[in-house]
Amino acid sequence: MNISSRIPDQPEPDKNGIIPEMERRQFLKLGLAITGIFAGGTLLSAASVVDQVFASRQEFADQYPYKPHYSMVIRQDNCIDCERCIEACAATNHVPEYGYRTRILEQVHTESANRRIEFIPVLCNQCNNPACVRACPTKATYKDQQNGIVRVDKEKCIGCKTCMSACPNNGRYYNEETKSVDKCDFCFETRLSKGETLTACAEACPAKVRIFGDLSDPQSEVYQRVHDIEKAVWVQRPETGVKPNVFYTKG
Amino acid sequence: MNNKIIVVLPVLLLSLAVVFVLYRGSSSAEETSVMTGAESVYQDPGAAKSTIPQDILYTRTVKSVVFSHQTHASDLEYKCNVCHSGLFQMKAKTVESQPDFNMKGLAEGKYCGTCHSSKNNVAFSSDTQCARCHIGVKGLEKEEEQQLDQEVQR
Repeated sequence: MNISSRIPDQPEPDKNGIIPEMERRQFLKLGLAITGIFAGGTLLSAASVVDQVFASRQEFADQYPYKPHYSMVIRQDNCIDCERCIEACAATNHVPEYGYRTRILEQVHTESANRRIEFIPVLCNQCNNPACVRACPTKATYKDQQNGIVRVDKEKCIGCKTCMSACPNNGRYYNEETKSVDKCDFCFETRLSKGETLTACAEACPAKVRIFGDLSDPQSEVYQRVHDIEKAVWVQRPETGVKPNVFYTKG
Repeated sequence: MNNKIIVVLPVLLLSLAVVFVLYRGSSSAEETSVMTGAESVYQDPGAAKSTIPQDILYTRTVKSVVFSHQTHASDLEYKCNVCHSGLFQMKAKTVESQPDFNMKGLAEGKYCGTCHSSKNNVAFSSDTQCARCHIGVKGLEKEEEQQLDQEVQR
């Protein structure tokens, strides 16, 4: 290597071919810039979250695939497990006692210096690349072409439960009364199709944990939060590649 | 015939002895565990004044919020009259009937907000760390079960 072309601060690679510390750091920084902020395997930067949404690069180029593109952002740290969302959901969508469309998970952090319990609301992620739809043998469960909601046609469902085992988020249950699999449809049947703008759970939440809206509208709060570079935004089980439309954040 | 009795009888006696020893062992172990369990929650009746009251579980306006007497009166060593001289009545949960016993009231420095608000800033503010006091429906079920166990032990 020509000595004059060398950056003075950075030492030359040594004779054994080991890359010096500074260069290695530069290289790692470059990796971060490309893949987004990485912590614990699930945190993502705004740029990479957008990438999670779409089934393919082409769709990314074609903007959001649905209009409205229904989506939910969950402000996880504000959840207090009052379960008004679960009550409102059950009343609105006639969910039986043994079933669920949404649940609250509980995580205990024994090593925490302050609060130790974290409540995590979960529901169907209305994935862009839904494993359940691909698994269904009768095409009873399908992706709504207009708004991207994953729905179930009760008449076509044969109750084989293949979709239940295919779903990486455990978002479905078998309804004994209708003899079909039931799941969250963002209240499309009971509310959205009748002109309401919010899901029952989002409306019932006293702590504004569940923010519901149209992700294809840059003015909507869901868009603003998902595209906020200042805050960490993540999805459940990104490694499954199902591209969820339910996002999680704090604050 | 006699030979048979000679063989069977010791075996029978031995097994009886084993059963007896096991039974004694298990019952005595049970007794000690009950004793230690009771000691931790039930203090000497003679020193009734120093007994720490149970946790309070508020269910209005949301399910549910815990107030730990253990944390405040025992661990932090606050005297009873810090809160029980006008702020909170002795009878648990009477404050639930107040219309401003909610997050807005707390932020204005009322009730728990006397300490837990950014306005008065004595302890962590009530607009942070939500689930530190809000234990939810799951927490309510767990606490109620625990309190029932304690009652039974008493």
